[in-house]
Amino acid sequence: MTSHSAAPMLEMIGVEHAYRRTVALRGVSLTVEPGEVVAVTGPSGCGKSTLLHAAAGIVRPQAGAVRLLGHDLTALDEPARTHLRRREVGIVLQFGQLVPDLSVLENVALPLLLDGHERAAAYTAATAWLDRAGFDAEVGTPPAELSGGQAQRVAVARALVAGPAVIFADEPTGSMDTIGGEQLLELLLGAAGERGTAVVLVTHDNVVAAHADREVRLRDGRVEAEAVLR
Amino acid sequence: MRPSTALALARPASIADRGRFALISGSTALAGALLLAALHILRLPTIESGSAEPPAPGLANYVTEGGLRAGVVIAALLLTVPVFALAVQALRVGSVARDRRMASLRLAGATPRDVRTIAAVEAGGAAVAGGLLAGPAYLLLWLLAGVLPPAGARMLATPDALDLLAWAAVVPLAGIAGVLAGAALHGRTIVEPLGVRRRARPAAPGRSNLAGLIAGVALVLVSVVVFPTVASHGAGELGVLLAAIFGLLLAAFAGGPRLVLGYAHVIERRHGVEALLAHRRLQADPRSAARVAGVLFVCGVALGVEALLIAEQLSQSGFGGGDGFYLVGYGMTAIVVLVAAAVALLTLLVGAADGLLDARRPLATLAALGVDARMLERVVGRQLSASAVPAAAAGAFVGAPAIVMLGGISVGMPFLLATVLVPASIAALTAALVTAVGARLSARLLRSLIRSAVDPENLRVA
Repeated sequence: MTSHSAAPMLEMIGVEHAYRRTVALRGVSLTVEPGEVVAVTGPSGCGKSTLLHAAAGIVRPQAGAVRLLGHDLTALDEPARTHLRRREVGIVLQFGQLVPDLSVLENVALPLLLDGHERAAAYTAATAWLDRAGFDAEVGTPPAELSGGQAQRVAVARALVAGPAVIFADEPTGSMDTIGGEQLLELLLGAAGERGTAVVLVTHDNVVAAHADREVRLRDGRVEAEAVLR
Repeated sequence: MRPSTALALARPASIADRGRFALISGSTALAGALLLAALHILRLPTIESGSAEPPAPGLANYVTEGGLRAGVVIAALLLTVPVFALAVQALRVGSVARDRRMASLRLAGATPRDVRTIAAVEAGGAAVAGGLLAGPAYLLLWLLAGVLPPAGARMLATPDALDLLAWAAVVPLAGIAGVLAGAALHGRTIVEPLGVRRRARPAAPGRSNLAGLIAGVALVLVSVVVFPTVASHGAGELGVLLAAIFGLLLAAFAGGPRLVLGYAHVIERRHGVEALLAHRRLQADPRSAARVAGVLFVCGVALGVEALLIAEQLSQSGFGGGDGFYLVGYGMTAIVVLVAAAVALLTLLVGAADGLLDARRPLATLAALGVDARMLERVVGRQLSASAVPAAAAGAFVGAPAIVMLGGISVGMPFLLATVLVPASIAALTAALVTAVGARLSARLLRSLIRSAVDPENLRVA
């Protein structure tokens, strides 16, 4: 894992991206400091998920610059961005997005296995994170048999297991009830805080956004407003 | 639902639908043509039959001598097996998109029985089209095997009225088989109105598989023991040979899932995350891989038996003098085995390609987690190898010696294990090498599809 320095964890400058005729981002700039929790909010279709994907190097924006942990993502090819994500980034996607062929335990252990860890050690760590995430079902269960909330817990455990420098979370509590979502958010932000991990949180829920240090509000692919919450 | 409604809803609409229809009808046509060829050869007068009608001029001894003809008929019938396996695989092409469409129909008021009927009609229609194309395909086969070869090497005589009748029978039979296969394959999917689709968890190989394996092995054993008593008795000999082949196929297809999953399990324990991902992909859908493994096991057995017979002949008299006749036979057998293996590998390729298209979103998730295209290509390569290599090698190294040694004992000419091991090992290595190269080649052919499958933008795919 990269040691955290005074330089921004994430720096996006004038990022633009479109899917065919649909423009998702129109010159968005955003900076995230180490250990900072930033909530990206806004109505549906405003470009929140695309912003997250561009910040994580999942998509390469068509214009603008993205620097993640000092790496210029727009200059890196796909394999290099993939390897950077594998080492430094934890990701929680909408609806959990677990790998359907793998069991719950294997899903959580996957980042460690991809990083070359021994299977036994990876499974031990995965079990511990599943416990912390309050996952109460059998760890050998296939994802297809999980409820939305259980899948989100597994996804959060998977994002945390490898101790990433930054976590990108897209509606991490979207499929959960209020209390369960609150607990999971506390786990995610608490574990991130213990390690000084930065978190970029995409949400349309003001209650979730209130847990962040700063809120960045998008509208029609542009930053509409920014507010320091803590 | 009115039949006209079912027909209208089953009509291919998208590019994927039309591709599926073409693949099913094409493979059914080829299988039908091979079946017509086998029936045609069975009707040819033989030299020994004493028939008033002499054998057609120019035909090869392999189809005019009763003792040899059985082998040719069995080879033609065996070739239909991988082609049918390809047709069954084709039935599943684009199944995720189709399931979504079925869910929409359920939401619009279709009952589970209605959607099953639509699936059956769709498969039946493609199979009927294949049956209709079997006639022209048979004419093409006749041109290739009955006109172009020199006199004395032709395998088929000029098509006649009985061929036409056989073709007329093949069309409805293909349709019925298609309807049954379509309904059976759809039966594994539960389509709910709210677009929620739960695919029944694939059962691990269970008691029915074990029963099939035991029954198949028993049928082969009985056939081998009974064979000396019916040898040179025309229909009886062919019947016992067909029973043995059926037993072998039954054992191969019933044992396929165990072989594939067992091998994948062993590999997974020894290797890292790539092997784990490959194993889990196989576990998620072992049926396609198991069907191919069954075909390749039989190919391995055929190759192994051929190697053992060649070794036996070399140790006795060699291939000097008039033994060129046997060389032609061995060459033809090798070609049939290679064609069957190629069709099986094509089936594997179609299945893997369809799996990649269906799983774009989970694969994009893997990419988001740090799995790049090269790693996924290695995963797919392992997946294909696990389906192909052990089956072909086991057929050559285990199946062939077992059959040849048992056959030798039953006719009072036992083979020594020591003499069997070397040719069986060579055959197994050859089978493993050919299938490994085929699997690697298939993975390379899938490279562009793999790259587009791990494209992170697939995370936006609904």
